[in-house]
Amino acid sequence: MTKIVFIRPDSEAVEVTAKVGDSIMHAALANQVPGILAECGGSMACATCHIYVDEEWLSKLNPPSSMENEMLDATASERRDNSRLCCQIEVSDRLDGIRVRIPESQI
Amino acid sequence: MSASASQVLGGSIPVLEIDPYTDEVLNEPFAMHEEVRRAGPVGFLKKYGVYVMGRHRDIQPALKDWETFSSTGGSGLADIRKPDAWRPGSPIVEVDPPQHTKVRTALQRILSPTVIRAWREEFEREANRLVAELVKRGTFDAVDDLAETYVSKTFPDALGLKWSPERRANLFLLGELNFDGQGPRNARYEETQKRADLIIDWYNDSMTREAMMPSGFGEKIFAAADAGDIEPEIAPLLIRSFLRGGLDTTTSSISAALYYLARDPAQFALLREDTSRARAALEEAMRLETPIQTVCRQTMREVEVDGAMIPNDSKVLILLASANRDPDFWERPDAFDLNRSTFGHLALGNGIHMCIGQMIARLEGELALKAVATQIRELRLEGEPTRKLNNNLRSLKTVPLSVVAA
Repeated sequence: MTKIVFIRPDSEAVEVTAKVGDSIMHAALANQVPGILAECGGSMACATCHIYVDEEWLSKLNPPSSMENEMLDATASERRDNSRLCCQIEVSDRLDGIRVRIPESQI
Repeated sequence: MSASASQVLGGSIPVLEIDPYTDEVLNEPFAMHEEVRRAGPVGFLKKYGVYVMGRHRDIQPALKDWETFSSTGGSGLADIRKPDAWRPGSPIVEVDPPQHTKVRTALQRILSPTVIRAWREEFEREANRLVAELVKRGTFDAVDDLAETYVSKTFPDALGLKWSPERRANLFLLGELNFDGQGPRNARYEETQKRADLIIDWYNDSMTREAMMPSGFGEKIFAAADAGDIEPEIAPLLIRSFLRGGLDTTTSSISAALYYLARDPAQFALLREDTSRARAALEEAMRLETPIQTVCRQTMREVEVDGAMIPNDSKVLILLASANRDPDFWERPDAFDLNRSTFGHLALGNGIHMCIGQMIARLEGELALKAVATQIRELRLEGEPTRKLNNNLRSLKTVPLSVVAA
């Protein structure tokens, strides 16, 4: 099991454990973390599972695909350098303890 | 409708005497769903010569596995590659990668969440205006007066289809035909086809570039063809898919949501307490109603599903609506509950063919339900709702309501 820390816009931290191989989005929904809507269920059609990944963890992630990159241009809250769709990040041991921030709005 | 689970084909696949397309079953499909789920991971529908799946645990992975469960045989019961049922496939729904990827990418760009968000204000104004008018009347029909009136304005306007007096009726007729056509060639389908034959000229004209206003996303589909992103000949066919699939589905979800909310004042109170639950209410209504009840796939190889072997090149009828109430996946599957997680519902499909218009549907639904929750204090059912029967589209025909203004 891997620990994931979601930081809500009001700075409250929500810690959840996730199964290796699941997506971070899946972990968020399984634990009903508010602010991750993931309406399309991971088919990259909605951009409502937008997160900002804490800088120190960015280098541990595979870069976004071209499709994810395009969807990141369509997020409700501003896109930043550390923006990702969490449906596209697979939980692994090396992400244990990863910190991600939830944007103000997803829709 | 009794199932004889004799063990014949494929060793372990039960042959079922079920007919999913009788009036009785279409009206109340739940016992049929249960029968299919109980029979096993896969059954064989003797009457139609197709396999059938009803369990969530089998259906979700099958929808994701397009290489095995292909859409190229057509999303309905007929195998469109065979001479007796041949027709050109939809260039988005009935193709697989790599062709699919190109078209899907272009459409996804045209219907990006940013584009759709820009329609919010207009949809909201329309929803508020319409609901205010209905509140003033005091009694109205949730389907005809609210859901259909609203969707037949917002969606074709967003597409950019020019208004005409017959636009609304014709679009709903095309939807009816589209979804009847996904079932067998029965009397229901023949009757709808006969009515649709009368509007064939309007239909053909409506998928041309000339029918599109410059502001709509329909024009952008033609522009994508100009730019070489998609083949020019498929642009009108994509418009066709939106004309046929864009209205009835959303209308059905909104009507169902209003019915469930009227039936359950506690749930309506939850929505009124926090109208940001509107999207959850819509999602839950989608799960319970599952406007598109089934989708078909064609096996591209012999495939094992939970121990049952489906032969290569078989048509498989996938009961999305059954998965959406499968008690092995959902707690209290029949309950309408705004607080539940609807993650994993399959009303919009799953995988690469998941509904391309889903974010439009969500925006339309959210704003309609928000307008209702903001302007209405009490929703009361004034009689039993009735249903329209269609081979594949589940929808309410009437939901008589009386309301008290907030």
